Amino acid sequence: MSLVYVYDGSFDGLMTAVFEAYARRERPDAVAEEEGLQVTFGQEVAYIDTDEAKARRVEAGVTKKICPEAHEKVWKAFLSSDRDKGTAIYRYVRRGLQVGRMVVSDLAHPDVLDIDRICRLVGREQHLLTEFLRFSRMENGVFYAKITPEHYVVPMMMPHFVDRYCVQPFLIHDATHGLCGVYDMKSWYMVEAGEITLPEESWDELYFKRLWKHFYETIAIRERINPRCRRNHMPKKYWQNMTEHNFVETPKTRAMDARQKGMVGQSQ
Amino acid sequence: MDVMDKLTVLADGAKYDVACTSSGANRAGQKGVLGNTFAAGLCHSFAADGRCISLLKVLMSNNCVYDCSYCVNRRSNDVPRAAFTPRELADLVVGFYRRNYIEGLFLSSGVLKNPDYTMERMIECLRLLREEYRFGGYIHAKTIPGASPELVRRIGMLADRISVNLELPSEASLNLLCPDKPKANILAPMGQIRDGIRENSRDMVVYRHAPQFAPAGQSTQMIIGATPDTDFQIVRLAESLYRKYTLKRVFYSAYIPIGTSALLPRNQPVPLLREHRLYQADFLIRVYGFGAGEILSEEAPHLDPLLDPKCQWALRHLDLFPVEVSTADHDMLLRVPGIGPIGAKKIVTARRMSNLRFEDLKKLNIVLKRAQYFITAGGRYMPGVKFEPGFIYHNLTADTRRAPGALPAMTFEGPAPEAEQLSLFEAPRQLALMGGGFAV
Repeated sequence: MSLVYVYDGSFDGLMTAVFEAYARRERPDAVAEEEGLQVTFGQEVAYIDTDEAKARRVEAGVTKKICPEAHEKVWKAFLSSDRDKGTAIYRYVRRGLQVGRMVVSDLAHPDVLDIDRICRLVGREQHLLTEFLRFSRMENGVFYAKITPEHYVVPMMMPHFVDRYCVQPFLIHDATHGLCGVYDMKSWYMVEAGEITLPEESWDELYFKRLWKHFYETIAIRERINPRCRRNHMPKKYWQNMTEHNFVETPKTRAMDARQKGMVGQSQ
Repeated sequence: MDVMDKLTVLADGAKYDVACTSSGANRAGQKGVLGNTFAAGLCHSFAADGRCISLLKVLMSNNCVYDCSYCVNRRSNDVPRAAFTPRELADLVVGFYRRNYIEGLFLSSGVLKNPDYTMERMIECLRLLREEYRFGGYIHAKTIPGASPELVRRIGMLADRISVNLELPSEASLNLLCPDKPKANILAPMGQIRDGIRENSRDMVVYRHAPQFAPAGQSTQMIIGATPDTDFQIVRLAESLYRKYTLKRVFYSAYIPIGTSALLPRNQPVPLLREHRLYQADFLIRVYGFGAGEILSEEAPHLDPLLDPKCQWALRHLDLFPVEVSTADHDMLLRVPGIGPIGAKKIVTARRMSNLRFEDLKKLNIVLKRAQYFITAGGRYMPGVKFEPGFIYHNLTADTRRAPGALPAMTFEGPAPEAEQLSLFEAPRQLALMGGGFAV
């Protein structure tokens, strides 16, 4: 009989599950999210009620008894959309509480390998989207970017963009998970947002989109075209939200361009 | 001419410049300032040729009073000409930057009227960006050979990285292909920039808020394959540039036939593989602690197209191998073909906790394709591997030999008389005297 702990999908829920495993002196074989759970024959299921106080105790324990680096890893792995992340995190914390801070350097241990693999995938997507994300300026002066990531990377990306663009309000919209990172020139926070109604784009947006696409096409050296190399560095799944790939001229954009010719020059 | 047309002409003229890195400077954001810089650099896109686009790479102007025969912007070339006004360009940079298209600006220029005038226009654009627009992103500026030292100093206070193009790997080649740029005009600013950076780092110790001079250092680039210089000369030159001028990077650019001069090789396939091998050698010097003399010698002055330089070195020094992964020190691990800085660090970290077998190395994502011939794990060879030079060479080169047409000519096939006169007799003597094609 194998034992499965089921948590509500929140970080605190997962941490509570870790707490309960110790409190009940049990060793669950898996820790799974409630959503999309499939119970197979011979599995015993225990539903865990999220308890914030217990979650904080586990978090503090991870930082103090293992090390801050381990805490960061646990948080990063939690942002993954990997189905087995709950189990991987539980095993990693268990291993860490046994051996202490040495767990972060035991790279070949199966429990460590697992969480490192998950963290690497999250880190890679976060890094690539930091590079490939594109803002558009809206009529009201807010800069808006839509991304469709596999993992919940927005909370990890926000500090970078807040540091960089402290002079402009912006919004990063994770359309896959219906989440938004918002910066209002004072602080940043996350909000849930399934559908977003956007204002019109600013009058100079089209101008810069067109210039950028043009620059992108001009800068390549024709004698050296190398599609495979480009795809390796910039996987195609990211192209859908990138200005240089998704911007197309239509009769409407050309008409707008003609109207705006006179206004450009005062813009930024 | 509107900005769109100018951008087309001026990006087209800049695209043969190799460097597009935004690395080396770490500057956190500040209240009221747009932008920051990130030490490792960020690539915002990749062009159809697979090269990273990190910076807006443009020329201030592609008008040029010089006539360097390898350059697309040479006076005698019939191409459309354009020039940005400083404000047009500054607006463009800020507009792109705010949309996360770019990491900053890479500004170079053809020589308009004279070097000083050109530099002044570039400086005006950078000043607008930094002072008026309060732009805190990355700026890489090229200095113009022959500009006055005062202007070099001023541009260094505004830019993160500055560079002077070496253009060609030896003085003889330089005299031949760009007679308007004497060697001294290239090396003098390089020395000045180095001293400026040194002096500045002393100031920084004394006054914490001393303004920074080129915090991301300086770099250079040269064209490969347009002249008969050997790989050994080039690698030696790069080594001395790193040591004596403390350059951050040397960039190599395989010659693309864009000129029609009789002095240039014609109809030659672009020796991309040679460029690739030179970059590999460059990394060995910069990151792996190799010396130029370990990679090549006067007797064997060319890099092997079949095998990367690290494998070549390892095959010449089989007496140092096999290396035992559980005991070898970090520097020796770094010398194993197929193991890089990340792999070496992982091995050193992981072996403190447990014994490493070949399966464990695989799990750590250490690529064994090349490494397997040069290491033992737990005292054992990889099953099926014979520690014999012939066996190793055969297996390492199997892929390259099988790929049809993968091996373009790596040696120079230029116009005969002048090339011969330079390469066979001039080059070695220069080397002996000066430690490279240049007196650096």
